Amino acid sequence: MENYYLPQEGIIQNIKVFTPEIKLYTLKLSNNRKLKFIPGQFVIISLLGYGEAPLGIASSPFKNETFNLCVRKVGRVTSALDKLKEGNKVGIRGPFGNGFPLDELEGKDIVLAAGGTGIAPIVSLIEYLITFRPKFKKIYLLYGARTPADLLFSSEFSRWKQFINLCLTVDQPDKCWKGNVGLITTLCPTIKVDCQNSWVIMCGPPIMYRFMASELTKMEIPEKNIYVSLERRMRCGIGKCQHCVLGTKYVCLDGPVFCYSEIKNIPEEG
Amino acid sequence: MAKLISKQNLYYFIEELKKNYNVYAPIRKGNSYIFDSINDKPAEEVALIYPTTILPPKKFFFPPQETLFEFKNQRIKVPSLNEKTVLFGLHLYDIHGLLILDTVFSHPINDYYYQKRRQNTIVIGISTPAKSPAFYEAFGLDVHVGYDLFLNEVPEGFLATAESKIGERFLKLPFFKETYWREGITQKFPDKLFSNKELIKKAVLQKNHKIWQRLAEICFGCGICSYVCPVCYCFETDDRINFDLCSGCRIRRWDACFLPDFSRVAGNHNFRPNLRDRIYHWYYHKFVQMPEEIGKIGCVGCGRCLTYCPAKINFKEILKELIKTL
Repeated sequence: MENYYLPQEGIIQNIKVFTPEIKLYTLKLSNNRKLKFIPGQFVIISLLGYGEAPLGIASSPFKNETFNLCVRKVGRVTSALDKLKEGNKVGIRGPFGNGFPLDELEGKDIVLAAGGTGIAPIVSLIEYLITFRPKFKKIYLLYGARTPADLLFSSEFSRWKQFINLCLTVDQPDKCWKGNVGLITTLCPTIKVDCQNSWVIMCGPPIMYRFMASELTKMEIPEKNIYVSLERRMRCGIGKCQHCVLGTKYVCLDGPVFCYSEIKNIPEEG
Repeated sequence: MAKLISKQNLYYFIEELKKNYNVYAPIRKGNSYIFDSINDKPAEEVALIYPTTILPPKKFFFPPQETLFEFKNQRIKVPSLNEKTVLFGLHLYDIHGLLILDTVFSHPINDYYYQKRRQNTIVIGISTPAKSPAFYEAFGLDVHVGYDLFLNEVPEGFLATAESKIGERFLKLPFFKETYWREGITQKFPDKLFSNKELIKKAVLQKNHKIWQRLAEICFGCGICSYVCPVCYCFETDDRINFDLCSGCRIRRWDACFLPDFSRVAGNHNFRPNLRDRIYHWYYHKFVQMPEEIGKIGCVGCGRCLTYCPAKINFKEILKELIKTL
């Protein structure tokens, strides 16, 4: 019988500092094991003596000798992780969850919307879409952050732009910023897609989902084509501990990716 | 085929079990009863007739606190869970509580710790006396599942019925005698309230009903109803570190959805900050979520939550009131 509570050993290969709070960790599993995952799935990082935290995977599913986790120093576990260095060991459980509805996206226009660190699992999806670029029609990434410095993965932007339409926005511009200023919803008018045949995937704070969904449905994108990735307190990852339950669904098993129409009436969504 | 065992022989049978198993049984503790190890006690201390225990037998498979693994530096060691155990003297409602947890902890993914212990455990049931606070008759529980052996009190002693190969093997022991008694345990007739799962579900789904706020005004939010419930199973995990700072253990412990931090995430956002919503969630889980997930309501009628609630909240009365406004 498999014991899903036991972490596998992982080694930090590389750390990239994005902002004072946010780092990108490149990890490798010990004993040459590979992490097989679908974009949108998550792992639970395990620091012995500190605890565990669920994190979306922020790298290409095809480059699975290593994988990336984008982490904001915010709680007990992530603050402990922040002190670790290259070569240090961590525990990894998973991958868990359903992942993004990849098959549905073929032959469609795709709008990705990311707010803040919500970009992390979207990165994994972007890399997937780029790998099979001819299978999809137009692809947009709407990405909003507080300041230009908070736009993560900026070194990838020029590469991504060769394949997808990248639309950025910030709340608080600096002197050099020439792009859009305002909430992510202000980017919606720039999207030129076949609305009835478009699919939207969002990852960000719950409040962003509500405002974006209302904008997108105004554009006549069907609600059933809008998918969101949710975040909850999680302890087991296998649908037992009850912390991530949302109505009759578990974020860890049935999610973290849900159709917006499926969850919009659950008051705890926000 | 039922067999008869006298009270004295039943004590001898328990002594026999103690030779090969760790035996846990109901014993008296002050004015209450608890399930406890009897390997270091004479079998006569086992309470053959008892109203109910404080904690349900879930504590043996899903303990209030258990070590998932110990660690030293980065090495992990999982505790051995191979103890051969007999749980003696479970009432029918507690047997059904275990059956529900069996489903919960195996569906859709096995919980290693629960299942390992469960595989190594023999269950011996016993009939519930009339003066028990349990109202499990209301549920019309199946009397032929979930145990190896069941003992039904009759004037001459106990009538024993087996429902497994191990149970049948026990019946061959000389403590059990042939008898003219035919019937084992009898099925009781269910209560109107609990016979209609759909009705209860509809009643609970009245999320905006004023009753939830009224409950929040009297409920202490202490979570005792979850701890004593045979089918409540939510948990929290914690890492404990030793003074050497490189060794310790990861534990899991019972949690309760009534407690304020249950749905708090990093960054201090709380998805269920109000007691009203947490109370609602308890009812929702038991009467809406569990029927959808496993086809059974999350209650077996043991009556413990009624006995131990410091605010004297009776969920049966709440359900009846909710049904009235449908």
